[in-house]
Amino acid sequence: MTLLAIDDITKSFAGHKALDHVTLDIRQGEFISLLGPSGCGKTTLLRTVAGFMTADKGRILIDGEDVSRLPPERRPLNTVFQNYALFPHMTVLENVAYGPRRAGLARAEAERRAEEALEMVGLAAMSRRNPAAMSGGQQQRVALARAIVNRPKLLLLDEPLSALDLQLRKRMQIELKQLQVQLGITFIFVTHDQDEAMAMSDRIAVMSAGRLEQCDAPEAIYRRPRTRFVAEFIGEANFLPLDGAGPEGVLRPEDLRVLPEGEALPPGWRGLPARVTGVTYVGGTSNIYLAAGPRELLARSYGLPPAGMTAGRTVQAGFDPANLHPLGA
Amino acid sequence: MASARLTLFWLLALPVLVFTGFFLIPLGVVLVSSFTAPEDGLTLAHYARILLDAYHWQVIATTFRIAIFSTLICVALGYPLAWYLVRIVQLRSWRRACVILLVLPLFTSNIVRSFGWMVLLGRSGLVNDALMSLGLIDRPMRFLGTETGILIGMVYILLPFTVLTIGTALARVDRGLEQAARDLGATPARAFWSVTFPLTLHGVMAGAIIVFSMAISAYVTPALLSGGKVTVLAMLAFQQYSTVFDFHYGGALSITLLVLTLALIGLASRMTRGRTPGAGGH
Amino acid sequence: MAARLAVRALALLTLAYLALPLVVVIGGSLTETKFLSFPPQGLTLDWYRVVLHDPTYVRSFLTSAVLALAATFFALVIGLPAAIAIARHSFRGKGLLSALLLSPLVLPHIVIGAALLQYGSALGLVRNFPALLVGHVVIVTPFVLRTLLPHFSPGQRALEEASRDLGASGWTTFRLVTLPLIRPGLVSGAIFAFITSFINVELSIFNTTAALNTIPVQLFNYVQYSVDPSIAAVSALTILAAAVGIVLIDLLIGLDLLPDK
Ligand SMILES: Nc1ncnc2c1ncn2[C@@H]1O[C@H](COP(=O)(O)OP(=O)(O)OP(=O)(O)O)[C@@H](O)[C@H]1O
Ligand SMILES: [Mg+2]
Repeated sequence: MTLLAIDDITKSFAGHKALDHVTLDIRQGEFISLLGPSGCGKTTLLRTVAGFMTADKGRILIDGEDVSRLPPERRPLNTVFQNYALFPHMTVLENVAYGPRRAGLARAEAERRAEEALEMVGLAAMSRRNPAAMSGGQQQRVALARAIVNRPKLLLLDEPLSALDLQLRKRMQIELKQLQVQLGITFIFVTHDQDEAMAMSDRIAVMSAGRLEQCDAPEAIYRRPRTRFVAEFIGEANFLPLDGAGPEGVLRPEDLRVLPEGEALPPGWRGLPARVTGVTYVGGTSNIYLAAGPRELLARSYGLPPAGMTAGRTVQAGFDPANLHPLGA
Repeated sequence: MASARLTLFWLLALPVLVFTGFFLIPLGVVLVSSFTAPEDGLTLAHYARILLDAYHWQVIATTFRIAIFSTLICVALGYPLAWYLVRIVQLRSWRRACVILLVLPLFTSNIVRSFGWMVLLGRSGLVNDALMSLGLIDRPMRFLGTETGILIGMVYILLPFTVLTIGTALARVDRGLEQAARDLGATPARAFWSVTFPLTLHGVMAGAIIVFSMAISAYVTPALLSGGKVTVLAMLAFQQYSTVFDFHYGGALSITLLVLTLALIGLASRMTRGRTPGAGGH
Repeated sequence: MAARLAVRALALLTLAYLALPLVVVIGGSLTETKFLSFPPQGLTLDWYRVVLHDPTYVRSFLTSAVLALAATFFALVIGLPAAIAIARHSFRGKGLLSALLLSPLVLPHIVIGAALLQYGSALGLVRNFPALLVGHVVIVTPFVLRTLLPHFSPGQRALEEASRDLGASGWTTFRLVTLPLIRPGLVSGAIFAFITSFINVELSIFNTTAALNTIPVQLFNYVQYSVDPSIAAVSALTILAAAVGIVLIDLLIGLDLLPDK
């Protein structure tokens, strides 16, 4: 069932289109990541959904109800802000109880709920502290507790983990995902980190220059990118003509094999002559860079590169045409 | 977003009303009356009277002289004091005491401050006593009623502004830059003039602008310390309103003072723009 | 090292220069003589007694206090919405508006006073309390605006959005988030406004009378023809009040005039 419908949203700043006819349906309980280069409109989209901005055109529907004209406080969703936006003049407990209080709960009841939410993020012991006296990771959890305490249907998270160090980040990824599954809340999660998006999401929405390029499950985004932009933005890509000439398709580096000149290809495979331009071996995988005429290709395989594979050598690059995915499909 | 427009309207209604009614329109009235005369309508006579008359030029020159010297002295004394407070003083409590001493005059009336100087600079005041007992002079000097006296009082009143703006700029200078300059072979003096000073120039200019604009329009201090013997523009304008009741000529004097102030502020801020590294201060 | 010593000496001399008139005024107020003398001859608080029993001083003091309080109140009522509008809304002529509202900071007060006098005479708004008040409101509002504006930072805005996001209306957000966080700016703006009004001469002098006088204007008038120890006592009292005010600010909100290294 569709929880959130983003319907043909357009938003310009001084003539510059930050969002360009964005349409996206998000189902109840889904974990969606918004991915894209800096300035592509991720934050703008989130702020439009949250109600901090009004779109020039288009509608936002939550549970079928048009909320486009509602102020943020009347929309059934909550946000985890990038820099957490914890109220510095309130304790952790007061921060978390703020939402329930505004929903009309008495202080005692609101605080009980807040304690519960803090427990859920593992901070029950710190409820009397001042947010300023906490580490980045702890502040992050407080922000999370504050956003889920009212059990919104939809949680918006704008790069919530970007201020954390790598290790903490990995741990929070797991915890966030568990929390999402446990509460059944729909997450829209903005990130710069494609591995993060790949690991956590049910679907990834890739944006570029205000447009939604593609929204699909992680493996579909990777295996079957619809545009050249998506193919290049997610992982690495070789572009090869689908059959000899004509429109191009995407071939992922691990699907390209480097074979000695003259060696027979597996049946049905295509091959093309190439020259090795460079070889690297990083973290258990070898990358072989090739030039096939004007085309630059990358082949990736596990383990050490084959013996004698040095720059300047002439080889053949082979692949199964079934792995060559046509763009635009 | 019609509601945002409405909110904006209510937010701005009172400020705009009050400042139009009691600031813009009154200044407009002064402007208009400076260009009119009771008998012959529109006229430039009042400005001609100011600009074609040696006495007025002399008053303007005095006003400028006092303002320029006040500014120069305030910077010359303010920079070392700011440096002392920011870089040399280690003891926090002493620093705090100095800052309080520095801002205390800002919180007291010009009258009180100038009054102290009237006592000090008098014929048998402390300053003359001290100079005589040191044998520097053998007859009391006249300070009251001289530009020197006014200058002493003006600098006293305006000095805190330069110390504060320069001190703020100085505190923001990255000490690493100085160390880098020293590392590259600069002497301490060289490092100061080629690194630190340029980085604090915007603070110097900001302080100088405040001091200059306040000095050029100062009334109380010159009035008290001049003993009626030195006249500055603000005193001349005030006389027209308080004793002569000539609003037209007084208006022209006021507008002259206003234009001078604005022109100098404009000039100074143009000079600093584009030359302020880091643009930290305003 | 020599340069450092010279800077230190110059700085200490300058500090002495700053302290000297204050010391003289306070010292002079304690003299037993009928004329002002420093160092004081004998020590007495008689001149304070004289001042505190002089009805004109007391009346002027009350006028000044009420005037400064009222001017501060109106400055807050005008300055706060203006600051919100300038910091939070986009509209045409914003730069012009903030220049207008801040300009009394740099314009000669004597000119503003003259303008209000001339304009006020046409309206009958002269030499009475409202006439004094409007002028003071105009010159002290910029202090409130200037101290408030930096408090409306992007970080503050994010907090307000967080509050809305958590279900608070605009008004509740203002009450529970905005106001508590700009309070230091409001307090220091109000203090600056109060003091500026309390010590003003240039503006008040156009609209004061023998019956309606402020403390600084009265001092100004006295000082021009007599220098007796009672004036020093009044002055010393205002210095004392200022010192108390500064220490209070320092304790309440921290006198953050020279940032720490
Ligand atoms: N309030 C605003 N006024 C003017 N332009 C804006 C405003 N907010 C965003 N933009 C512009 O809109 C575009 C999209 O900005 P947005 O913040 O949505 O990007 P983003 O995808 O979140 O980038 P990042 O990954 O760096 O956070 C940018 O070009 C930005 O400059
Ligand atoms: Mg963003």
